[in-house]
Amino acid sequence: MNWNPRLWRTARRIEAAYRRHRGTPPPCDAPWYAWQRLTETCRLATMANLRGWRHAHRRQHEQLVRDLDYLLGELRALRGSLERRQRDKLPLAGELYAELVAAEDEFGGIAVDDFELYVTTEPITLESIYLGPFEIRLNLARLAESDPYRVVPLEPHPAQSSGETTHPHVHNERICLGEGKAAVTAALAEGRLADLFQIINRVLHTYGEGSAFVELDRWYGTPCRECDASVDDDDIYTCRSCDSALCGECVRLCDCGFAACHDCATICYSCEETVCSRCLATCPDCEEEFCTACLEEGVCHACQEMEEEREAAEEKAVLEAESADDDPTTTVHADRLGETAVLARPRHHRNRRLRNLGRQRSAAH
Amino acid sequence: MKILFIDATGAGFASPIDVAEGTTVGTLFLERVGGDPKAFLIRVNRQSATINQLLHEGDRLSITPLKIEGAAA
Ligand SMILES: [Zn+2]
Ligand SMILES: [Zn+2]
Ligand SMILES: [Zn+2]
Ligand SMILES: [Zn+2]
Ligand SMILES: [Zn+2]
Repeated sequence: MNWNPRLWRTARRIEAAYRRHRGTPPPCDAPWYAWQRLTETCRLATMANLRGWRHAHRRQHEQLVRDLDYLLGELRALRGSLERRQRDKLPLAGELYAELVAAEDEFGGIAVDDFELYVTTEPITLESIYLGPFEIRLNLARLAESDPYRVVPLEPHPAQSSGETTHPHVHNERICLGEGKAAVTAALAEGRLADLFQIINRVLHTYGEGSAFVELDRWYGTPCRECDASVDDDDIYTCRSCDSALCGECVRLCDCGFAACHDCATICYSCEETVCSRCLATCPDCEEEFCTACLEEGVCHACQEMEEEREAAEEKAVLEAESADDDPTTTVHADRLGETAVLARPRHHRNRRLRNLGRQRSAAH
Repeated sequence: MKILFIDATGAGFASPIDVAEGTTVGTLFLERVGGDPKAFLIRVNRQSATINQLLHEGDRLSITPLKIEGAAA
């Protein structure tokens, strides 16, 4: 592989950036104090043994065990801190150079501008939606932060409902890495820059359905069920009966504010306005469907008028019969008298009460 | 022998592991990750690798899934 002085200079620059942001590790300290304590106890125990001091020797022996445990604890702590330091060790220019060469190879180029190191992805299409290529940019001045990278669309094809959402998982140039977060954090900590770019690239090539800023089936808005035009999420109506999405042109609105689609809306037989299923009522006499405004006491105006006409005719007949009663030449029929008694109350009101009762009962079931 | 293993399916830290002489990329992949190797980017010493490739002392093996699901916020 040819030596690339440009990438070497970049590697040196990144090495310096890591050093600046990570700070210098604390000095390594061997637990000499614990060792000193142990050797002193050892000396005392040997002396007690030589002189035949049995009590003192037993005491020193117990102390020796405690001192050894203490030393072992300190040594384990030192070893742990060295392992951590190894993991957090600053990436060196040589490793960073190899990472830059690998990234250049994988992405067909790597560049650095004022303070960002970046690669460009191939054009990305997810579920047949073309999103275009993206630049993955790592901010070298923010290496100590948790997400010093941004994702910039080169040919933005944002979601119709949100111009800042240029990818299901990118909003405002910030990528939400989801399953890739831990691996990117580790790669950043260890200076594995090719891995960092590649993991972000793989997230850009994946659609996590159900966890996106804007889901892909709504990328170009939602299609109206009736005219198929695409509608912004803010302008969409939903039929309250069947949940289908509707544009402002196709929606039918009931006076109560409920939206309905063509199939679920009913037209009032009288005023021809849209009625939702909630506000719809059937006239019991003609069995047509009406809006609540077009019914009076549950009956439509037409049926009401017909009833009134019928009543007027009946009344007229009764009056004629009564005047005939006054005329001794006319015979009185018992059944007609009975009917007169009932007609003392307006007949349609009685009938309507019965009907209403019947309806209430059936509604209660 | 020791190699450096980087598994981007998990926590993603590079960790030195012991492998037997004669271990191939495929054997280690099945042992540590599993699944269809075609769904992963497998690299040895930063170069793309094949399943039958033999691992050597000091190699750096990295495994990255091709599909990594992002999230929202
Ligand atoms: Zn429409
Ligand atoms: Zn509907
Ligand atoms: Zn009406
Ligand atoms: Zn209504
Ligand atoms: Zn009617």
